[in-house]
Amino acid sequence: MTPVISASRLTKRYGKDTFALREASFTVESGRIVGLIGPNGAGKTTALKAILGLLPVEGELRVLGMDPAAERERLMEQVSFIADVAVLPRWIRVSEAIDYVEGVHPRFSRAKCQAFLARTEIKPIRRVRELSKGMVAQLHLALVMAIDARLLVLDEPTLGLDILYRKQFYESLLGDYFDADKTILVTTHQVEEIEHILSDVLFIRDGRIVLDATMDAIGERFVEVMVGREQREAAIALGPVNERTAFGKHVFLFDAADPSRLAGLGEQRRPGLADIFVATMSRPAAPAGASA
Amino acid sequence: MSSSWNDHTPIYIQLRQRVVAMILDQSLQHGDALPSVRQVSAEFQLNPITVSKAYQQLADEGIVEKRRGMGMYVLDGARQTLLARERQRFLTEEWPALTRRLALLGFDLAELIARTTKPEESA
Amino acid sequence: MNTFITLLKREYWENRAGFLWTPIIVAAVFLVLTLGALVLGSFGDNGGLTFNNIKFSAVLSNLGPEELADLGLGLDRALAAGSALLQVALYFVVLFYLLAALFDERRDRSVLFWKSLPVSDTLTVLAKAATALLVAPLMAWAVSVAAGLVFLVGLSAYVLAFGLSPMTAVWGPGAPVEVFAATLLSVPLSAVWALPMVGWMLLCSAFVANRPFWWAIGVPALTGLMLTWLGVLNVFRGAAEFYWPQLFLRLVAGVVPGSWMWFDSQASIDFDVTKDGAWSLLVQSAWALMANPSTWIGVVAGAILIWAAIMARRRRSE
Repeated sequence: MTPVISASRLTKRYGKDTFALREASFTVESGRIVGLIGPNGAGKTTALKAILGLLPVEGELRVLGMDPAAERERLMEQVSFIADVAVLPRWIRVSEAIDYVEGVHPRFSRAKCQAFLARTEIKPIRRVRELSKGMVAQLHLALVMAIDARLLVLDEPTLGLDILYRKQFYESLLGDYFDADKTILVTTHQVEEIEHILSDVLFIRDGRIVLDATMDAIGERFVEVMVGREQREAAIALGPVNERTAFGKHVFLFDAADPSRLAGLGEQRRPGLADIFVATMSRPAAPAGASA
Repeated sequence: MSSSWNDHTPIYIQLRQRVVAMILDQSLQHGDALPSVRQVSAEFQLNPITVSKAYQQLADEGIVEKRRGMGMYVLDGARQTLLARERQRFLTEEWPALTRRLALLGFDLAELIARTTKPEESA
Repeated sequence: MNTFITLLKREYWENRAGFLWTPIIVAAVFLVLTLGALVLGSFGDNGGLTFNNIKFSAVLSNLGPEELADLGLGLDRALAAGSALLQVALYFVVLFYLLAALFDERRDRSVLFWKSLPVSDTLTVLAKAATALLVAPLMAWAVSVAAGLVFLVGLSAYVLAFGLSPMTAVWGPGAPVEVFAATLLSVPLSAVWALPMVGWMLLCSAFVANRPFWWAIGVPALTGLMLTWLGVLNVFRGAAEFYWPQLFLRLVAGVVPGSWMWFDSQASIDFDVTKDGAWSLLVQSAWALMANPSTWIGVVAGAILIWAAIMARRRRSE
């Protein structure tokens, strides 16, 4: 199955020394939900813009077999995106927005959109500026979910939304939209919120991909061990990724360590994605991205 | 919901455990359909692949079966199979651990049983 | 095709206030002032409406055929004047529309919504140009026709109140249909002449980071001032004299219908103020416009500017 996105050595430079993307390479397979996670300025938005054909970059990039920068209009028939919550034009009425998308998108279903909106408090006559932030997100999501697209790109889709709307957002996405033929690429700061929704994760830092793995592989690779003072030296000798202290114990994060050598050091737990993220980001940067 | 998953076992195993618990306490009986992958995925905010894995594990164990175009159904005798397995696990793992703890705390087993039959006297 | 029509609808939805309500309000004010003057003036000898030196109330006493003809011309002029008022309003509406067309969407980031849909930058920019050149002027034209008819109906009511036939006093003498036809014809002619302005404004809108208005007016103005200054120093003599009416005004006000007649010294039109009606005037100027090479040079320039605006929109997503 051809990958939905294949990116090879993407580079975007501004001026002589500033790189938004630095030889970033990654692949997104069909049917996956991929999280692109990184600190601010890491290159997430640049990568997304390149994928959506909004920004030309060096390197090779193919999305659904197309070159995004050259074929943006055709690509947008198969790709939907929500570039954070606030981008619906404020003057437009709900009914006008529906009419517009219906008039320009061949794969939009008015019936589906109205079914989604029927579950909300949104009235067709209202203008976007009269809706609360959460309702704008609901409207945008309703419009997007009614489009039969193969790739959905979400850039911080729940930024600034209260918890009720955030939960509903993913609930709707998983319950009403996602299926085996679709692929979702999402960037977010709320790592805990989506870690169980992801099937794959990409960590990006300083324009480079520093981790590219399935969630399954991550579950097997990373282990956190809580070690008492006496065992600390022994733990350090095994080459942990990171050390922190909690409840008076030393907590070590190991990547692909031999389980037999970890046994007996202390209580083990599966680290959350956020823990792995923080640990990987505070590591000194490796020249080549680590891959599963 | 995400905070109710523990950090010791993979999620799909924990999900399997929940289904097992439902079969054991008979909220799911034989012939009942498991909720669809889509429903579980949406309600618990999990990737559908994770849910499928849990269901597949149960199917491999002979607890549920996949009916084409319809979903997962609890098999006849599932509860008995699970009961037998859980009882075995209790006897080989949990019971020895429990007796060790009783010894550690200095409890006498007969004394404990007497307590439970007279709840108003418990400390 | 469906996409293009949807794009035009979208421009309308966003700019209803300017394209629909502004002409209606301006026309309403015009009607209130004129018909009001008519009603008030009929209560005395001073005041009332005068068309081409003939007091309208004089119609009530029988007017001779020559005076009726003069009155008719005056009525036509009144209709044209009302239409001209609308055109002034339209100029400002279209000017600010063009400057905002590709700028506002970047400023409020809604461009990320528009670009998330399969609509090419080319079609987007062309729809905005078409709106400025055709949709908005046609709407203003429709409002001017409606207002003109209301005006004439108002006069007819006045005349009827005094027992006279509106046919002889109002609808007969003038040629409102000609006026309406002439103002309609001026729309496509204006569109040809205004292409450079539309292209320039759209380019500024799409390209500059801030304050498109100052760029759009400022750059041509500064160029003109520079040429004038150089002319004073006897360098590039004559350039300024050519620049201001030909280039600057066309670039900044080309959208005003009829502007080609006033600023193009090459247009030689035979116009007899006492006799020629609106229609013949416009037809003559149309020939002159089409025959004038600078018209077509401007069209090419306008097309290039629009192409540049499309390129700019393609590159910029903020």
